[in-house]
Amino acid sequence: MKNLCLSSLFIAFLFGCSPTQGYKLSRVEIVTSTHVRAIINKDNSLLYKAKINLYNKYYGGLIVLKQIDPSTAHLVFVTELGMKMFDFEIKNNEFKLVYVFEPLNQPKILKILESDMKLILLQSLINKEARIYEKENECIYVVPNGNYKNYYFVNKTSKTVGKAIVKGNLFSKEKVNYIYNDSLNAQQIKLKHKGLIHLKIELNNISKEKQNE
Amino acid sequence: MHIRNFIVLIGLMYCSSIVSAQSAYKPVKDTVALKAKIDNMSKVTNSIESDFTQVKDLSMLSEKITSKGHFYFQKKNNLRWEYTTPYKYIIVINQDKIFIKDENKLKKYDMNSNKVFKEINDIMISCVNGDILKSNKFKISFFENDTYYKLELIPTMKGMKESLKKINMYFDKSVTSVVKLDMLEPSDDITTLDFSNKKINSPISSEKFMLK
Repeated sequence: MKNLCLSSLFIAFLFGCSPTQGYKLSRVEIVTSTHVRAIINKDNSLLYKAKINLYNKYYGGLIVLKQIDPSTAHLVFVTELGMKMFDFEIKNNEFKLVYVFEPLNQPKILKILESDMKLILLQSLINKEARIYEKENECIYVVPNGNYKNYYFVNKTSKTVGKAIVKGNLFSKEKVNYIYNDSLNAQQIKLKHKGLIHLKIELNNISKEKQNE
Repeated sequence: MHIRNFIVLIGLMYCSSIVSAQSAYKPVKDTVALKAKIDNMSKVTNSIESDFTQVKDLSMLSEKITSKGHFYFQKKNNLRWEYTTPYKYIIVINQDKIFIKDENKLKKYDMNSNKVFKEINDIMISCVNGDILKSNKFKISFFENDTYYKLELIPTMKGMKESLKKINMYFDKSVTSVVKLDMLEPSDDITTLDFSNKKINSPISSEKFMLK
């Protein structure tokens, strides 16, 4: 009897932890840019003040997101002093490392960075088949990600992603929060890992007006 | 890339700027005399205060990132780069200490316990006062036009060549200070620094080289 109670509690706990609790499965579809608003702006480059804390090392600088042709965008990170740290090309939804500053050229670091940037820029969502759950004005797009699942919380009206969670059967390992400005460009993006990987990324948008001061 | 070269590159990042179109440069005939002027400039410069504009030109993206701020140098080992736009960021070198203030976060490092910062310091200061001419890390060519002397510094060290194609260092024709520099990377990205509103040998409060 005691074991049954514990099992019930455990099962209840698992269900309680599901991000889709309270949402209803609506459909399964391939996600396109009509479902969600892209983070990269097709018309204007976006500049972010970036703070990256990785294994007790801090990297501060600027991140530029720019679409250079209809199928190609770049994510470039430069330090305050102008030194380029890495440059990712995103072509047809595939990530390619174009440049990395040698001290950062470590497979473990690059793998994490690439994975996180894909998550942040919704590359892990677009063109993927997703189970779509709905509740009132919000959808959750659930996409398999190896042993994990990515949960993207999307506002039905604005189509902006407010939150993304990477979660295994029991625990979530990453969480991204988005705040948008009036133009629906991401004003602030915060990513945090849980568990063994000590990584935090915070991006704060620098407006064009601020750049031209 | 070797860490030493990495450090050198960081220092050189401070020493870059872009120069607007001017009359064509031609080789300097009397390089001995020019070197002597630069050497003299290093000797008589005790302090520099100026505004600076830094432009990072990402050539492939056709994108420029502009930062602005104030710069202070006090002989012998005091330096302050105060970025004010697009956000506040300060780096101060005070003798054997280095301070970095990123928004409200202050970090302090001991130069003597860290060869990295020592080399950054040496390079930044040698860029500012012209001592970099004495470095054996570059092959240097001398040019001039009506407005400037231009020194082209080509890295000679293998590790550095991978990240840095060339530095152009500009002096006014009176050789009173470095006025402009630009750094070209192999990818054709350019980081530039342009100094303006310069005050040479004016007193600078010691508080400028302290961060709390």
